[in-house]
Amino acid sequence: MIQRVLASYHLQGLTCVGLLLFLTVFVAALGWVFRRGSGTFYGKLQELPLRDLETLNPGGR
Amino acid sequence: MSAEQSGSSTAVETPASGVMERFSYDDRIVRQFILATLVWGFVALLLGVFIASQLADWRLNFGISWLTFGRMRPLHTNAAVFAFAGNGIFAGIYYSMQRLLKTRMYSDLLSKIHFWGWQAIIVSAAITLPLGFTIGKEYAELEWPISIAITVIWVVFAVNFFQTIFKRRERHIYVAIWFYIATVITVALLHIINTIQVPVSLWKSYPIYAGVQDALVQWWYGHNAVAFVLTTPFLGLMYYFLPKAAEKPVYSYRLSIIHFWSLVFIYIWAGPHHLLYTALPDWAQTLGMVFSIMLWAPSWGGMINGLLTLRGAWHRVRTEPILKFFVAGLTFYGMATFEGPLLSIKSVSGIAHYTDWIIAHVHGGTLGWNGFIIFAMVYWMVPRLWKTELYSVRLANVHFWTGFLGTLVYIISMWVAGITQGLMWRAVDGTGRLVYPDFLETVLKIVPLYYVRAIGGGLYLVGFVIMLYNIYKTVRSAPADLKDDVVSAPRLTRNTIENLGKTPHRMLEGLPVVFSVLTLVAVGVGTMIEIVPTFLAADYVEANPLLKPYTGLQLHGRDLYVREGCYLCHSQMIRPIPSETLRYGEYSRAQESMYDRPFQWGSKRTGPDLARVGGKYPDLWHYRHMMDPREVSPGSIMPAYPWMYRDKTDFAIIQKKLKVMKSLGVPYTEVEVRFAEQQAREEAKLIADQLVAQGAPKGTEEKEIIALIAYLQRMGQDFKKGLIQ
Repeated sequence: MIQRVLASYHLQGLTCVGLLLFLTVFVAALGWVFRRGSGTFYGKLQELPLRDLETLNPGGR
Repeated sequence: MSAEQSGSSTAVETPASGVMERFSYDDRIVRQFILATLVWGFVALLLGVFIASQLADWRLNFGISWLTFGRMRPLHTNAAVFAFAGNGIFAGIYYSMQRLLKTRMYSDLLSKIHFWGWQAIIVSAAITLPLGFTIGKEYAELEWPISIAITVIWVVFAVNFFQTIFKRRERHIYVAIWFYIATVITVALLHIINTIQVPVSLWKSYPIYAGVQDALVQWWYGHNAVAFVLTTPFLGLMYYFLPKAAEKPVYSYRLSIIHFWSLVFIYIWAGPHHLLYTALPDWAQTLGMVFSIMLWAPSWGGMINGLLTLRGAWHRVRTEPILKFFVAGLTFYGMATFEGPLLSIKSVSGIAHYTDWIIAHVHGGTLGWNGFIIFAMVYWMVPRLWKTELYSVRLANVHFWTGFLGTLVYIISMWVAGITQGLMWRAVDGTGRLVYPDFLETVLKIVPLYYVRAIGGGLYLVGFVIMLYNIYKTVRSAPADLKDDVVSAPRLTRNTIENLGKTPHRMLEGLPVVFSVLTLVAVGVGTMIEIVPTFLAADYVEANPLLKPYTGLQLHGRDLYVREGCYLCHSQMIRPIPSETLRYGEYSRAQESMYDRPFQWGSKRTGPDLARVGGKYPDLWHYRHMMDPREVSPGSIMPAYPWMYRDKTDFAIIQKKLKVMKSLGVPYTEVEVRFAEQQAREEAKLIADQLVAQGAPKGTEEKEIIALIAYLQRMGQDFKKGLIQ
């Protein structure tokens, strides 16, 4: 069946290239985010939206 | 006004953290975008309820050209996507990026040009679309002068956006900004590639692509407009505003990184799922289907990341409307991104495509996801930006439940309508005949659901009006003098940027140019692999010397068909499915639309497919049908087009049209171009004379209806004459 499906594609190579490219990006991203010692770093990044700067003129008035 | 509040910053040396700078955020621009979001949101929703009502009762078209469904529907979609969602996105981006990057926007002037330029574009769309000035490609209808204006204003926004990143005081670029970067880059790419046109006049142009290529480019654009206007910026906003509202950091930053790269890489490939079972090459359809199914994972990864951000805060959802909107919005996102890949499976698409199931899917995303995220954001930002309290939390809760109920009523009614009609179209009895051969019967069966849909949309609009009142009262209670907050942060020196970290990831984080280039590569790869081979048209559409392009009159009639938005209700693509070929005839071939600029394959069948309508009925039938569809088709919900019997054909422009088409490679001869007007007049007279012989009134040869009939009678004739195999 796989043979029949592949035989009907005109440019099956492109489909394969696309999938391989995605897998490469996906695996690379996984490798990146789970590298050793990254937990602390990401912990800091997670807090970014919550770290508002102190307002020097409260109320803006 | 102090220096900080006017946009400049002042520096103070401190021993602890180097040079501290005092500055203020530009909140005025955020307030302006919020107000624009509210105004255009009301317009978009009102238009939505109006066109939903037109489908329930055709009399609401009023026989007025600029109010008719075909012209109002593009206005509704443009208002919803680019005016309501667009302004909402800009409001959120301007608010969040200044705070995440600890800096004021690069240029107040560029921000103002962006704001007013965008509003001018929306107003010009609101004028030109009802007048019938349209390219005829969904979500990209605006004619070339407005297309150019969109490009210019987007570049202004992009310059301001990237310069703000470069002058930031925060070393790291939070994931929300990544999503914004992907949006800024990809929307520019999509818009420019899809709207390359050759002008015929100030308000008429033809795309450089034709037929299959035009279809692929358009749905590469159309699908990714959903991806990079209605998804990535909203995910960025979610990653900023949800932690703020929940007062909790995002559940997993790691997951957000995987989410980002997977989504950006995969989304761009999925466009062809809009063209399943069409004349698009099989491999491109399969590619679109496979990548659409793969989209399940990153989409749900994002949704789960959002919902889990509420860990430990779920009890607040019960009382806080902002969190309610976020939770419901994310849930609708999850539903829509589950349904999207499901609909991309060929066998499911076979039933759902061209039906109201797709309308349900789209509105689950726009009303439930985009709308609710904008509402949450507005309720969160308005009290802070106007330095006051929200007028009524109770009214915000009422808004939530009204909007939620309205969304459910809308999508459930359209699910039922779509699946019902899809199954009726396919029903074949034991003798191999269609159970419902009359298309109209399948429409009339679901008209009651169109009323239900209008009620659902109406409820959503009521909820929105409640929000308008709540926001109005909130803003009224604000202090008269809204000065921007002054804050301080240490200056980011070149040294700190260079020492971001030793690992590639930290480097990437801090280098916006490299990051942007990688994002461009991620979306570029899919684009190139998908689109470039299809440009090699000879592989799929062989040149056929027997095929003649449209005559001048037919071409002009086709432009009238595009002007009236006929493609919004009628497809021109018979799929190779037994029930379709039984109903309409042989399936459509790529050659049949090889000169079609724009392609008119359509995406919805409120009326039947017209690919082979040529010669099916006499001219007089079309003449009477367009005057009053119910005269020849009792019960029809199609609007009447009385102005086409009053307005005269612009014969003088036909020569210019042929000239442009010839320049694009359509095989018109020099003689055909030179005598285009004369030949069109002769052809019109012939049709008008035949109509008179059949019983129509005299003196119609110069009316637009004749040109339209010329086009309608041409459709499918090449195939019927055996010129296409």
